[in-house]
Amino acid sequence: MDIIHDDYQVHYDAATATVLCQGSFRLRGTEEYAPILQVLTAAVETHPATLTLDLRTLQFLNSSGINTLAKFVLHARQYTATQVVMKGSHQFPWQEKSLKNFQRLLPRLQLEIE
Amino acid sequence: MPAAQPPRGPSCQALLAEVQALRQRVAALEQEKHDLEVMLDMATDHADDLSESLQQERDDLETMLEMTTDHADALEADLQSQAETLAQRSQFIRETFDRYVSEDVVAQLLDVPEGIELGGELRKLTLLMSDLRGFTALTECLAPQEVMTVLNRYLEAMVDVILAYRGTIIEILGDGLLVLFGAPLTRDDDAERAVACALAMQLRLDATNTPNRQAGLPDVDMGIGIHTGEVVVGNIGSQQRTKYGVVGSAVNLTGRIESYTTGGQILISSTTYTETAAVLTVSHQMTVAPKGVAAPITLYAVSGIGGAHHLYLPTQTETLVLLPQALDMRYTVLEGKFAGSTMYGGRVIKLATKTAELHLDQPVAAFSNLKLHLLRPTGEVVPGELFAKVVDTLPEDTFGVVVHFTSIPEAARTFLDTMRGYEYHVINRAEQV
Repeated sequence: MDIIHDDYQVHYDAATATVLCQGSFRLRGTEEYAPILQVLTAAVETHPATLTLDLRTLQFLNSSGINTLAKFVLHARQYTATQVVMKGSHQFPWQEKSLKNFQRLLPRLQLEIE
Repeated sequence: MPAAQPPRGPSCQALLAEVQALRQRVAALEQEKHDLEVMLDMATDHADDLSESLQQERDDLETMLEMTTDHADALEADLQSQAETLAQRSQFIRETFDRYVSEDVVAQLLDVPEGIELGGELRKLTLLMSDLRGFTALTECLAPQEVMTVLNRYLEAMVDVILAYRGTIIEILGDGLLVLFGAPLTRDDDAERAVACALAMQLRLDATNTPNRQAGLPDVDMGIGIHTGEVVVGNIGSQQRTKYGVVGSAVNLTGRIESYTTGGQILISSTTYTETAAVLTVSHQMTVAPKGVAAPITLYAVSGIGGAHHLYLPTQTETLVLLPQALDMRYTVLEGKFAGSTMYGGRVIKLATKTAELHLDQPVAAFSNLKLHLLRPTGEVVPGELFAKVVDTLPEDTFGVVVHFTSIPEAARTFLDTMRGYEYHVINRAEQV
């Protein structure tokens, strides 16, 4: 369940229930983001106790990308037994501003910005 | 007439049955009404549920919209700050490099801002150091205004040549220049351009001496040392004061090589020679052992370059003339810029305009710098100090050396010319100007 592209990579590690997003997400619209959303929803559908979304090396995320992550968070809301952890970095200023908004959709989402 | 009959109507039984039927009908209707009421409740409840879920969905969509907008704002802010950083960087590049390199190099730097590392990096460069021979001594004989005239005329011409050869002027220290070829931009022909630049500088210096002579000012001579090696290049300094500069042993070695030169000479190290040998004309080579360098190194005196540049120094044919009578002199050996305290005696045996063969009371190492006083045959000291560099030692005579004069004061020049048997013409400055 990995997506390897020149500009971005999505890697799901089942052992740690972690989805690692790297590079720059500059895809256009829902259609192009569908494979990424699929990796994310499939990960939460395995009902892990904790699911980590590691965005620390995600340099850029466009508006369709933030929408895709929001859809994932809404989907994860049904899985009340799964704690969702989102990891970000101060290195990319947009992460500080945008990631905290996910808690509006899922108040129990745990945000770790380092 | 028939008797009236009692009116005929339903029997009592029939009426009871009808009442029974009506009761059942009412019960059924009541049941139906109850069912309908339940259905209505259910429908209302369902509608409430639907409405609640729609509201939730609407809220989520609103949140998503706000999130997207917020995110777009954050991205815009990032872009703005990146644009500002880029603008500051461009400004910095312009301010930093305008002074050192030509305008087109600045333009190139701005085109590829990610291509240059200002923080500091180890890089192979060709370094060029030039210095006016005996200029410090000359400043003591000239008025401050004359010093600045000679110096600025020289620097203006040299900077012009250096920029034309795409050199980066890192340092102007009085009459000395430190120039890089290969930073901030690397080119394939960095070493070759450095050597060509040195030749062009020497050729141009001749031209700058002409107005000096016309103004009654002395000629200046320049020595150039070139070396190719790895150095750390980047911005050096504190936050308040920073400059683009180089550090490394290659810089020191370039300075050493330059210190071995006499006026008009270009000496290059073997690393520079290796990169340029195919197009070079070398007049001679020498082995020197600079301080701080483990093994002796070979230097090459360059007299020309072919290929695309095609620059050649005029051949110097100075013949040493045996003086009819050896001239007495006194000398000290200079250590760096400082004269040693011990004076030794010696004699001038052979003489040309800028070169002389001396016999010294104490042997000196090749490339030593000497400060000399000449004595007239009467034993009287000729006013002024001469500076000279030992360019050769005589194999047949431990005490014999060939020196190249780096500075000759006017009185000494008159005296030496007289001794060579030439009649000396005093330049009338008023006539020349």
